[in-house]
Amino acid sequence: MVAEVEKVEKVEEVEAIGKDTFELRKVSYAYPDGALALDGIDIKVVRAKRTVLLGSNGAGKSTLFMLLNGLYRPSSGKLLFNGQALEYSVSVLRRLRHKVGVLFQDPDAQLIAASLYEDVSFGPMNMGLKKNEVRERVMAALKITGLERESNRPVHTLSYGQKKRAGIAGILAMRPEVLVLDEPTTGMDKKSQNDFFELLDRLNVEGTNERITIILSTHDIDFAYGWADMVYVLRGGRIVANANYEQEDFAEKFMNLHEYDLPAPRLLEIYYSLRERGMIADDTLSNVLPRDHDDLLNLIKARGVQGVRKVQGSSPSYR
Amino acid sequence: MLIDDLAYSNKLRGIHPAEKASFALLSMFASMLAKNYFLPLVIVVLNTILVTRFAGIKFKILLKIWMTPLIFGAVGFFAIIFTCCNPDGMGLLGAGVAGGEGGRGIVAISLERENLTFVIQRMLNFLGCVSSLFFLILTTPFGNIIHLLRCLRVPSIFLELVTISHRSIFILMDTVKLMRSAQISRLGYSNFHTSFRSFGLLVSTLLVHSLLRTRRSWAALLARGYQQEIWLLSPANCFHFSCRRLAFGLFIGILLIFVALNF
Repeated sequence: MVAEVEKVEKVEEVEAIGKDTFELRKVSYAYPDGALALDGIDIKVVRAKRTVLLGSNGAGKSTLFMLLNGLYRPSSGKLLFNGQALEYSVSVLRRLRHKVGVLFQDPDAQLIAASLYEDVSFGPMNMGLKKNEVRERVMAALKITGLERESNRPVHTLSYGQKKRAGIAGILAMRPEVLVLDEPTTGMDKKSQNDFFELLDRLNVEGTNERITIILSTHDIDFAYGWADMVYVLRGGRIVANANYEQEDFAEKFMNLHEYDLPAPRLLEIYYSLRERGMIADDTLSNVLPRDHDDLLNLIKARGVQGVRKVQGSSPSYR
Repeated sequence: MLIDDLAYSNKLRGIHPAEKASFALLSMFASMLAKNYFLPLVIVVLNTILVTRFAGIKFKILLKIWMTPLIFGAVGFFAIIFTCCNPDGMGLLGAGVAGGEGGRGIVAISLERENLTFVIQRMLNFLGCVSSLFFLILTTPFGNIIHLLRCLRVPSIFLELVTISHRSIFILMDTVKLMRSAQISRLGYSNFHTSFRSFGLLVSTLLVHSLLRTRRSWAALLARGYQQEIWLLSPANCFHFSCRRLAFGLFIGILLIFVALNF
């Protein structure tokens, strides 16, 4: 019976490749008091890509994430997961939650057990796995999040950054297809932030089994610019703009963010300013836009040097 | 929290919780059953040695932890040491309200010799029990106690409640600390009047906070695949188990109970 279910899931997975992980069609969500939190959202989350949701506080990012895990049900519109409209039955929701891990903003709400090891075991235990398998997954999740040495520590003694990573470990132990991260770096110091981004790079580039699809909400424009494959701008419960890294107007769209009361990425501002002053060669070679600090430095260094070209599409990293 | 920190940092932490719990329980029963002054005192001394000498917890810190039960005990001691009695037959010490017929008292409280011995015995039993409990909770982290209870097949609803309460206490305490500081920085608690007002506000805000937090935690539980029961797995082989030590603990515990029942 179990083998059969696994087989069915395997087939589903194979079919799902190339499809969008999530597709939201005109999804709206109203709170019980009638206030509209989301209004006609159209979003596609492509498998194995990095999708970023930009928006100020109260734009509806957290509400949207609640929908992605079936915790909220759309008031209208359609939510598709792996190409199929989501049914809100107990078994379907359970399977959805196995595949979609959510990291909430407040790590204290996320962690429930007394010790870290036990907490990480919570998800895999809920999946009904054998104890050995659970142990193996817990250790692997603690290792990739760099918390191996803290495994026996009580949760309340962990630092804020560690608690966030513990939250991720709890999700990774369930080996999800999709990671949904709600403002993961808010309140972290710079070092923890960098560690966190490195962790995300490891997950999305190397992956445990394959690249994990990551959906992340933030108001850190610089990070979004440097890291995302696909960006959606959420404002007042609506998607007001989107940008795709594979399309040429990616940077241009970022420069126009001020229309939505969001600042442009500093890196791009500096880049354009330098280019205007002729500090970066204005030839076709340097038309490749920098994505991070190192890219920009290379462009400045490469000024006037023939044949130096940054290859577009190399794995971006954000420091 | 001090008790929790000590439980995670003491030298006896790695010893299997079953060993510590069995000894603690037996010595607790022995102090409860003791009919003389001597045995509970022996148990207090024994547990104090275990906690200070073997677990490496400083005596000064232990004394600080003892203050709470001692104050609690003292209040109880004075509350039950006196009895209401016939105003004409007072014991060692007494006071009454006069005004009855022919100048006789209406009601009186008095301290009787028999009652005194009874109360002292009860207090010593109480101290013995507390010392046994302290031995357990100061040397065994909370998670290990829960692990032990889970192995003993204690109903999961009970364990879940305890686990979630334990987590919530720390979160709630942090919130209280933060809110109180914020209040103080805005001149809350600066005099009698504002103290009452600040405290009232703190409690009411805390209620709202707790409700919101409950909602968030519930969402997180569902997102992590919660299905009516919290299943957790403790780390394997993280305890040092020794049959000899267990047998020795059981022997001492049973000996204490034997003494309690027969002397």
